[in-house]
Amino acid sequence: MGEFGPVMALLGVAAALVAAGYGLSALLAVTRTALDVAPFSGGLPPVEHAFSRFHVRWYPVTMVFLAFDMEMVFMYPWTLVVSRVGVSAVIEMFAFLAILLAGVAYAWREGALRWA
Amino acid sequence: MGLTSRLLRVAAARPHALIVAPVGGTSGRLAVEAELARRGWPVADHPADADLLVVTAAPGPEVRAVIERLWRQIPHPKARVEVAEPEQASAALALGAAHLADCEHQLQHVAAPAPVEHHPTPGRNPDHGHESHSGDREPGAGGGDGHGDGHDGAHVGATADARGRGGPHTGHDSGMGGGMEMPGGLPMADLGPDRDGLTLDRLHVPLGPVLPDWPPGLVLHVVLQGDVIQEVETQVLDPGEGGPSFWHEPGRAAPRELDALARFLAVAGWYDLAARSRRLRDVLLTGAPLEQVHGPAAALVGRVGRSRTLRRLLRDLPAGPGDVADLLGFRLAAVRAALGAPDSPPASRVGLDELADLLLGAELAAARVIVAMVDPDTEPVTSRPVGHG
Amino acid sequence: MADAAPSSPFAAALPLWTVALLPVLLGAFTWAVVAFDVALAGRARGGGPSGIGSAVVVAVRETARLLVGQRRATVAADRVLWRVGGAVLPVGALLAAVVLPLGERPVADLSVGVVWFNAMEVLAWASVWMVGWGANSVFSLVGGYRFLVQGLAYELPHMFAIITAALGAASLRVTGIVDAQQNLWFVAIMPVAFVVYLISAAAMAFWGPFDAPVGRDLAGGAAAELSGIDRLVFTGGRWLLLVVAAAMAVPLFLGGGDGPWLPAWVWVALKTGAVLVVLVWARRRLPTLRMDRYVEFAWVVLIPLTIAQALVVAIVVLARGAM
Repeated sequence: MGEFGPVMALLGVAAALVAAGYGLSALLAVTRTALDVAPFSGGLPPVEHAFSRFHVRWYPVTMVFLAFDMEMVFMYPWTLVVSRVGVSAVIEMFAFLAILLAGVAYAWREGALRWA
Repeated sequence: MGLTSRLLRVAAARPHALIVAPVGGTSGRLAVEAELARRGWPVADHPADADLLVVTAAPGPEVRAVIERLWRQIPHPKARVEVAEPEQASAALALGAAHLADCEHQLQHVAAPAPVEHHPTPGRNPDHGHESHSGDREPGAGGGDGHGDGHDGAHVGATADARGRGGPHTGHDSGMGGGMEMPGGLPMADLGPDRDGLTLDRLHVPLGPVLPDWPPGLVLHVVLQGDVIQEVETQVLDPGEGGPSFWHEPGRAAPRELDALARFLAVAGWYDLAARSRRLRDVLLTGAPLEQVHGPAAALVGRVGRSRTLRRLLRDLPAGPGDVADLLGFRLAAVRAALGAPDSPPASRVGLDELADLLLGAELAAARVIVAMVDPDTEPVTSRPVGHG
Repeated sequence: MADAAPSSPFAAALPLWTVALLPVLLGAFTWAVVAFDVALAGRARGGGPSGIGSAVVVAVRETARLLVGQRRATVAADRVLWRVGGAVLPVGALLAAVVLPLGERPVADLSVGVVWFNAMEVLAWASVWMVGWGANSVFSLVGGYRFLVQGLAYELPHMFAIITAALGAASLRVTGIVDAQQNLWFVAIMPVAFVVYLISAAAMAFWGPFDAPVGRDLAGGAAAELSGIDRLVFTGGRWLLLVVAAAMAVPLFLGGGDGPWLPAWVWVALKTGAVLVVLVWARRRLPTLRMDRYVEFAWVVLIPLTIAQALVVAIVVLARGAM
């Protein structure tokens, strides 16, 4: 069994626990039939389906986030080699982060981080 | 079913109560809230989490339809009680809990066909509204029209019908009534321009009248894009019920302001301070002199006013001409004034028209805070009757 | 704990049967946290039954209530997304816990333990959004989207915080990070990262003051249409995630099982309990944070701060290497 063997076993245990919960509920609940209802918005019937193209007003933040998130992928392996590679590794990584931060500062000035 | 029965009893010692406080139900709501706090039972935010439906006054026809709909939305096991007189709160809650603990009763209830979601015909439940607190009724009589589990069919009728009735209030420009057959008989949201010059789905939503910490009977028919309110129309269900507002009696200015403050704090997610405000309110309503709560109440108001976090969250959130932080200032000033002069008349409230103006362009969270902070009069005021805007 | 680095990649892991023990331990912690939270709420309310006993029994009552409760389905709900989303939350939380040292050793001592924890904890994004979207209900929908924007705010400072801990130990292995703290707990050289980690632990479990996705103003938000076992799985998963996130602060910043007199597992339990107490207490001190304000704070204040913290730790690592 490899390094991830226990992980797979735990996934099995977790899935079994959730399934056991559903099984118990099926046995113990006062009824097995799910209640078919209209969605709640305060007691009046819905006028339209809620599924809709949502106005994601913070869309610019997601873009900035993606840029940073990609960078994080590089940062994980970087942590392992800092002491071996030495000063140059630190300078390169933080110069990169400084450039990204300049981007954040620009986005901030443009008002991308505020939307209400 | 032995284990189910035992679990029902275990659970029934701490049921979650969904409070329906229609116009005229304020005194009942206060009594029920105090009683729930005394028992340590939580208040449910929505029907899915409720076991106990508590109606705090004899409802008018519009609210009765809402109650029937909510009752259907609550999953089994469930019970409902009506608290027509505040003194009955304790007995009514105890009765509801007893019904919840009664396994046989609950199973019978499940087996019986569910009452069909539709406008209630007043004659259908002759006991309703007259008995001081009816336990959950056997719905057999109501559901005897053979619908059984055909809930979906019932939805179609109810929603299409309500949509027609809602027309004058919502004033939405739905051009999709016919055409494609959508599940549940509901149309999809349609495109429309928004405040930022984008074209996005416009979702028509009726908010209220039963939301946590919400003014009695208030309904906002809003058009949402994302979570931003593009259009809003206000309505009060059964506005004439129950005589003049409970709050418009001498000496009730301070508890009213504490109640409003508590509702604002709860909507803002500051649950501990909300609970403290409610506690002080309840102390005043039991007849304690104002001096007794003046110290802690002033400390509470001071703490809310000094909170830099709260101010940062509310500053620059547009609400009419000013921002939400201004509204908070007015609210706190009103609490201070009421605490200073016990016999002063209640502070004048913003009308529903003005409320609609304040809400335009707000997103949902801000709108909830604005409504709680403005605390509009939806119950009849002797001097100025409030209809819907 | 004084052992040198394990020779084989998984020699430091606990025996396999502990995969069954882990849910039990986390469940016990979850129960205790619920009881503590209920006790605090009761004190604030100033009524109702008080005392440890009644608080402890609340979790039992709630579980019983949701087990016997009927499930619900809303009109035209996207049931697959809805139900899967709910189940993902507890499963993700449990899987994240696989790298937690229970004492000195975890259930699985992954060489990329920190990355694994990060990957599993991010499943909450998917879970809450799926639950919010699936119900076809306005409040759920808005709640689900609220959690996404919350993720955009807390996730980057969070990742910088945990990367700083990995940097300090030059290891992505959680036991390696614990071993590196034998002389000095990381909280001493990276206090900013520690505080940011605690904030993000609350945010990822949408725990107050980050509870807007399931807020009272949205009448329950993403969870507004859940009942019965569906609700139990979702809310239970949320509590579990809170416990796991708090427990992870112990190996990352608080020296793991390091401490005098008592065995390592006792120290881990005590420290985890202390972190949870802080989180549960802090929730009652603040109103719910609105993300349109918090995002700005997170990006303009927290991210530069955590980067500066990482720089300081990188310099410490270089200086240590030069010695």
